[in-house]
Amino acid sequence: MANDSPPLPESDEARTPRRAQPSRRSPTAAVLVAVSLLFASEYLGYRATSEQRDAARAVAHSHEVIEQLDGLLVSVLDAETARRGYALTGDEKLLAPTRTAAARATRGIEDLRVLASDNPKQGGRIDDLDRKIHARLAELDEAIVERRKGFDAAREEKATHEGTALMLGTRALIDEMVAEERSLLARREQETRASIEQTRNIQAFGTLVSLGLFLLGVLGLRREIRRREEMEVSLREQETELHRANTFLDSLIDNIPDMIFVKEAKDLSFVLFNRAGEQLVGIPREEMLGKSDVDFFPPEEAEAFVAKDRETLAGKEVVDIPAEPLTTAEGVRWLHTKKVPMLDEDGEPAFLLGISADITERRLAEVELREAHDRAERANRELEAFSYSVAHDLRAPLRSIDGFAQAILEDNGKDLDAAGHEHLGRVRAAAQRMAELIDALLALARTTRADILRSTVDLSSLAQEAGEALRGDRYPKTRLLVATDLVAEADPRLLRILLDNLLSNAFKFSQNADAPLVEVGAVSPADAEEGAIVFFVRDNGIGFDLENAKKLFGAFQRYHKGAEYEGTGIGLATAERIVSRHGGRIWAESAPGKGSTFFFVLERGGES
Amino acid sequence: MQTTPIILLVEDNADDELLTVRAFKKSNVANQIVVVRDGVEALDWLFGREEHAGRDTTVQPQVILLDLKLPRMDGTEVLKNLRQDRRTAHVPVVVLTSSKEEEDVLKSYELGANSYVRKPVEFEKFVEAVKSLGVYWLLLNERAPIRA
Repeated sequence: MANDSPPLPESDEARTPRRAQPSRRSPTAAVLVAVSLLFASEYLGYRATSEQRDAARAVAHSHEVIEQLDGLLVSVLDAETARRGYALTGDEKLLAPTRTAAARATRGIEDLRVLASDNPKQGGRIDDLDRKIHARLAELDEAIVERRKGFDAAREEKATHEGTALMLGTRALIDEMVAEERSLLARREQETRASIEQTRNIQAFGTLVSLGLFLLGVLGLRREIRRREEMEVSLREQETELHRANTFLDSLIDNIPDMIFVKEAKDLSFVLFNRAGEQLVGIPREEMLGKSDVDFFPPEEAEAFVAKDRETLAGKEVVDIPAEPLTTAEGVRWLHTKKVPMLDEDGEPAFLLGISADITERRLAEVELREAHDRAERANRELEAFSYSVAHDLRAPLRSIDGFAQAILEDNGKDLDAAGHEHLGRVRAAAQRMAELIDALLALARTTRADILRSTVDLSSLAQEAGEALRGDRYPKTRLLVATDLVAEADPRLLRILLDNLLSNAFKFSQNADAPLVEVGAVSPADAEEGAIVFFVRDNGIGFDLENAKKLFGAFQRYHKGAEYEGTGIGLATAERIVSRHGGRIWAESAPGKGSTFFFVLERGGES
Repeated sequence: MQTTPIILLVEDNADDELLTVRAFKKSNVANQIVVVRDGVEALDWLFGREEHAGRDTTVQPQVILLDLKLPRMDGTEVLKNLRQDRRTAHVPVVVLTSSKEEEDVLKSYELGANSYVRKPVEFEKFVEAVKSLGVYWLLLNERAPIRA
């Protein structure tokens, strides 16, 4: 079925705030820390590389210095060699290097000064070297000038010695400087190595830690993802459940056989109409939604509906409308409607819920019932009047029959023979019997009329009275034993008739016993059915066979042949009728020759 | 009482009338029975009207035996009427009828009947009843003094 009815207003569950988000911080933090560490170690690496670059540069630098120093030495040596050569040969051409040497030396020293500018110790030495070299070069120049003047072996030797000494000094200095540089180099190398080592360690450590944290972060994130997935799944399941529940509710409302509708509180337009309502009104619900009563029903009806709607919403309580007419496609139907206000969270009316049961049939049935009841009443009354006049009118002729038969016997008895007497006797007996029948029938008819008036009846005294009246002179031998304190909730007249019937039987059928005894009592509480007292009328007479007494309580059913024991056959039918009018039960226990006991229960409240 | 007590029998049934008269005869209680056939005639006799005009209405019955089912005007109407007249207000009325209906009994007493006796079918019993009635109402019962 198409779910075209709008959703009901939000239920409470939907409005509950979502559960708090579990913390995402740890895995994120871990990842962040890992990344930071990575960055840190990268930075350290970068710095180490820079340091190494600097160190390498320093090394190169040192190497340059050393090279420069060597170069310087070579220049000086060149100059020296050139001079000696000239000194020995006097060849001017050999002097070429000396000129360039000075220039080179000077340049070299300047370069060196620049190179060693970072090392003040070296700076001092450079000055020293500068001095020595320039002194030597000056000396060389001097020596050259001297040679030009002429070769002097002694002077040459002295010069060579001086030169050598100076060279040694210079060389020593240079060696010093080289050593210095070398040691610097070594230290630098040492430092570099240490730094590299440290860096590598830090990096390794950092990398490991960051890896570890990264892993933790990843695990954490994975767990988080899994949790999210689970939440999604359960959310989807909840959604499905919700959808299923909603569908079920919608189906429920739609399947309820009574009409159900919901209107907006503001303008009383329909927002929901179930299938039963659709069928009742005969208008498809799509047409009804959004419109209101005035659009579909005659003005007076719609007005009445609206009035009740307003009453419900204003009073904020359920309004019960036992019967109201509704004009449908199939004529007017009668509804029993309940209107329920639906309040929002502020207690203000948001919607109006209506539930209507179609009671048209019931109303018709009620009307019919009332009519039938009236007819039955009328029939009853007619019957009453009829039985009354029947009784009266039927008895009169009987009286005549008996009376005049007796008159004949009295007045003309002496003229009659024995047969005549007997005949008249039978006439009288027949009349008598008929009278009894009429009385019994009247009593039976009376018991079925309305108005059974229950009151608390002293059954003991009633039974005593009835028993004594019945015993009278007819059963002088019979003992009557009535239990004391027997009380019943019954109609006293009918109860009397009941007792009359049962006692009359009891006397009648026990009259031939040796010590005839008629008892009236109640069964002891232990055997009693819950709440109800079981009374009994018992005699020690001839009894009867229960098997053959199926119709014991049927009207006109006689168990004994008419000749043995007179009776109308109506007594027990009457008794049964009275007992069932009281909502009770009557039954008998007996065996041939063992007497009879008739039990009856009266209390069950209400009549049948 | 000088005169023989009068018994007014209001009975429409000829047989019953005969039997009642016979019963009274057998009861050996001296009496004079006046028989009227319906309620209207009963009142006419009591009040000296119509065909009974001229009757001395100071002489009232010792007891009225009244059947309930009567033509023209039934027993309860008769009862009501005669209870309303000073002359007959205190005359003992025995409702003698076949009916044992409670409503009849109650109504009769309410309207002022002194006694309600059911006519038994058996004649002997009827005789017994009549005898008792006769003995009581004619001999034992004290009449209300008649004041004109």
